[in-house]
Amino acid sequence: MEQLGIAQIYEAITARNGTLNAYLHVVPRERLTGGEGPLSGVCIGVKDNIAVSGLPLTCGSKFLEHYTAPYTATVVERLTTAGAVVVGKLNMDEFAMGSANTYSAYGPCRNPWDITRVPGGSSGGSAAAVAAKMCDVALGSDTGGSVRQPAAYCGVYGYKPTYGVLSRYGLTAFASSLDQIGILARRPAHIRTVASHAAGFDERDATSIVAPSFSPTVSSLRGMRIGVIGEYEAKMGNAVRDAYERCLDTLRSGGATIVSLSFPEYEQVISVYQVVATAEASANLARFDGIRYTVRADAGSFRDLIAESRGRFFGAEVKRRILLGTWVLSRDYYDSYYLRAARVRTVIFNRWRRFFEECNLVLMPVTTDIAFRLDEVPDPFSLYLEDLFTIPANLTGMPAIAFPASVHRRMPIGLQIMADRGKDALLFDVAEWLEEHFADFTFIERGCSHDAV
Amino acid sequence: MLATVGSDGEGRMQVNVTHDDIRAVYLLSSLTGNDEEIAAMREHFAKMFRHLDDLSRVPVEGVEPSFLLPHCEMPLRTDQPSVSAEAKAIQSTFVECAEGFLVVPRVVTRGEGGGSEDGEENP
Amino acid sequence: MTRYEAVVGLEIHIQIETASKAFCRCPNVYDVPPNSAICPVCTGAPGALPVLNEEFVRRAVAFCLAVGARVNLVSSFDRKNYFYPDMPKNYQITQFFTPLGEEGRLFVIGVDGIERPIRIERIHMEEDTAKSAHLGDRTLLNFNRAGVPLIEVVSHPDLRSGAEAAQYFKKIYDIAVKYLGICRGNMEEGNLRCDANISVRPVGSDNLFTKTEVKNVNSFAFIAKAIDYEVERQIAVVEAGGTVESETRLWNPRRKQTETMRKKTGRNDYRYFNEPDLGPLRLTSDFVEEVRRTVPELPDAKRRRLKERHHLNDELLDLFVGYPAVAAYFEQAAEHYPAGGRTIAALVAGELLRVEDKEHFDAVRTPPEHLASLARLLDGKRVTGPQAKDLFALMRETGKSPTELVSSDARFRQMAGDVVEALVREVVAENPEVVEKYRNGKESLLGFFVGEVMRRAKKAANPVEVTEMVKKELTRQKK
Repeated sequence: MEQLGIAQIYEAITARNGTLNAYLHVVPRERLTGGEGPLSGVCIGVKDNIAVSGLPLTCGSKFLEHYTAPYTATVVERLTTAGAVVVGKLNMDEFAMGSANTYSAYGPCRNPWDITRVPGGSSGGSAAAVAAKMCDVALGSDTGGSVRQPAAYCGVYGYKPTYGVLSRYGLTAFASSLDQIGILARRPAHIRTVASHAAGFDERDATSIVAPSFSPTVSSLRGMRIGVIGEYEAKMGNAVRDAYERCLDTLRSGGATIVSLSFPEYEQVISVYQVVATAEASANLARFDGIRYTVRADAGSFRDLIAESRGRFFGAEVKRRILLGTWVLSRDYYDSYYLRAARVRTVIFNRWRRFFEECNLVLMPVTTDIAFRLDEVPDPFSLYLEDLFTIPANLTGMPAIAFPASVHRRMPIGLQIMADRGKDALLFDVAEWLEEHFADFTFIERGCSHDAV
Repeated sequence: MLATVGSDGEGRMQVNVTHDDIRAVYLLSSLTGNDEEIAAMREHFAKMFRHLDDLSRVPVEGVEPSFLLPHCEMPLRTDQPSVSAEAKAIQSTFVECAEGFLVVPRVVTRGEGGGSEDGEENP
Repeated sequence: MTRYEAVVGLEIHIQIETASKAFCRCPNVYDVPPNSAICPVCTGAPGALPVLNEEFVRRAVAFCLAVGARVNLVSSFDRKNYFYPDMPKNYQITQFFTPLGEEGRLFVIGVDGIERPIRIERIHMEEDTAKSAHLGDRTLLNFNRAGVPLIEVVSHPDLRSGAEAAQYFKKIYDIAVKYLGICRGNMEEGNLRCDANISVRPVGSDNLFTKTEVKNVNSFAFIAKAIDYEVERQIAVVEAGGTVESETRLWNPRRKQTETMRKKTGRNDYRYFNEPDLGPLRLTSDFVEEVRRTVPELPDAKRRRLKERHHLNDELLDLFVGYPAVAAYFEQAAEHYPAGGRTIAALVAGELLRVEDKEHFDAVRTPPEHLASLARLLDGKRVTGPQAKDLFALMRETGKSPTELVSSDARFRQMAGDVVEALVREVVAENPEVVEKYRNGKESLLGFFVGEVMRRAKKAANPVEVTEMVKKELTRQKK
């Protein structure tokens, strides 16, 4: 696998991290521990909600400002065993809740293509670091699109695996039935390589599964059936639609057949996600209470201490989500919201199973437009609506990969392909085909190579 | 008591979000916030619940809820103990530590021994 | 005047003795330094995940079968959400929506002496919390116990008195600790914990009235007292025209009363939902049958069988049912002498348990076949009662069988009947004054003659027979 080399990476970090604020913590070069193996020399940036023993684990929150991870996540362990090197911990929206990296307690991360714009979120630091060549590959986390959306905003590839393929042991939980560690890189082949070393059943994660093979399955698109969802047409901005249609043309010219699909529940995915993700999050974040290992407020009784600590050290977005999650699980609301959302989730899951009876892949947008400016970030509620295209992969547990598609107003635009459970290898195959026949790799090189304004 | 929840003729939820409702959820979530924050939350949640209303538009007759993805089976683990190498590292993350114990402000006794018992009262 | 009855249900938590904890591989141990048997999972570190211990499942299923509960082949885990410092995640992994076992029952004997079933509503698996100790205005937390496997056994409110509750609790204890061996049974260590839900109602009513919860009555001695006290207290409140307040109370053993711990202000909202980190637990009926084969004969069945087979009295039955290891020994001995059950049982209770500890029973020094032979010798009147005691001690000392000892040791020769008679005549003849006193009404002096004959016979005579002979002789002499 091609590598930038440690020297070049540290130069880039020195030159650019001050502006971009992608890394929250950089391992001093003399302390790098790198081994032998197939991934020897590969430098990895790790999102700061994934545990690496001895390094900070802030999750982008003030609550964990002084917390050092006492153990290492399985995925990271497997990669370092294969020889890879962790160079630092990456900026993110607090506890992975956000779409612009503006909810980080440690300052926003900036898009390397245009530092007045956001990199996306919640894995903003991961995407920015990859785009700015401050690492070879980055690990992020994707619960409702948090790897794919920043990848699209930063012109890189972002992969969310089939649920269970990458162990969650060591990933600070946001929404347990939706979370997956994801991989970001400048080339799909890099993702395939890294994934093959990290994937597979982990006895410490009861939701992990035996990994499917990642070896290439197809070399041409002849005979492939690629679905498109009619309801999405009206939801894309013009620039995205333009890239989307050109992509369809390219796929057709490669021999694929385009299949029309209808997804009547396409809008309800947002409500299902809001209910399910916040409900699980409200419980997952309960452990942050000022008692054990987090910073602690000054208060009298233990009860006051907990409320005070949580009130003070959680950011507003985290509080919004915890409140909604608690609300929809509470006695009078459980049936109408949580239970209902879980049933709609089944409907959506069944819908997608049927899609993959008619086609091999679905081509979808990732975002409605290019990355917005830091001073033009939409209000929280509007931001939720932007998750429209990314949520289905999380609700269904199916794999998806965002890939760079075009440039508009000097900003990258990405699209994504999604496949049935276990068909991750097919995604890599088609992403590699698209890399060769559709996206111009060199413009990505140009776009990322300096702090453009 | 949380917001009154009614439904109109089509079985859709109607949620009235009051200041007291928000305060009650804050309490249940063990969170604090000042009046300004709570007022902002009230606006936000009014919008949220209006939007969540669209859940009732998907027919779910005879559909089982998915709390997990349908393929998830539960692997069991053998009863082989192993002493973790992380005990010391975990102790060093304790906010306040004394002779190995984690020290916290005094709590009301829940009844010595514990077990799966109710802790403090919640409304 | 209205008569009231007690309506009592028990919630019992049983710590399951597995090698590792419920959801992580930390050792399930008691006496180790604080916070040494911990890992990211049981301390709720960010990113840690639970994985279920198969032995925990096995033992929980065994308990369900032992109390006749139906085992649900599919059950799931749920999160019970509340904040407390001894809860590493501020939620507990438990089974709320689908427990592992449902609708079992155990029998108790009511005040009227009649056996009654106590229904068990549910049995579910969950994890224990950390242990807390108070020091001034601080609390010290030790997470060694966090994540230890627990099963919770919830009865219907079918118990009607403190005595019944104590019986029920004892039965659960015996089954878990002595019969199945799934729990260590040390109450000080908190291996079993019991909370009681108590209310009262007019006799004949079917309604349920406000109940109070009395927590942590963890001793058989206190449970009956605490429940009876609380029942009386509630009746007094109701008879005085008041209403019982819903609250949690603690038993104060010094003052011998229950006291308010905290009032219940409305129901807690635990916001239960399905645990997303654990899939549904699916058991096969083959697995359940495999576990069923490991479940031994249980107390009630054992009692019935031993009573029918050997016609033992209640005291002996209590002993054997309460101590299955002792019962097993008894039955081994009885195999060598099937008709001699009662004698063997008496020897076990009277002689063997004087020198062996029934709590840690191990009778390697008295093989069961030796005890059986001793019983035979007794029943066949080859040795007397007092001789049997000496013989028992000698058996343990030498390791030899009683039949061997009896034929070789002069002490155990049997005195011939005519020789005994001669002794009787001798003693009576030598003591005319005593004979006189006896004839004048001092019947207790019979013992004097019997004792003297026994002394001269060096115990080689049967005291019952000797007594008959003395009586006959004294009557004969009269003439």
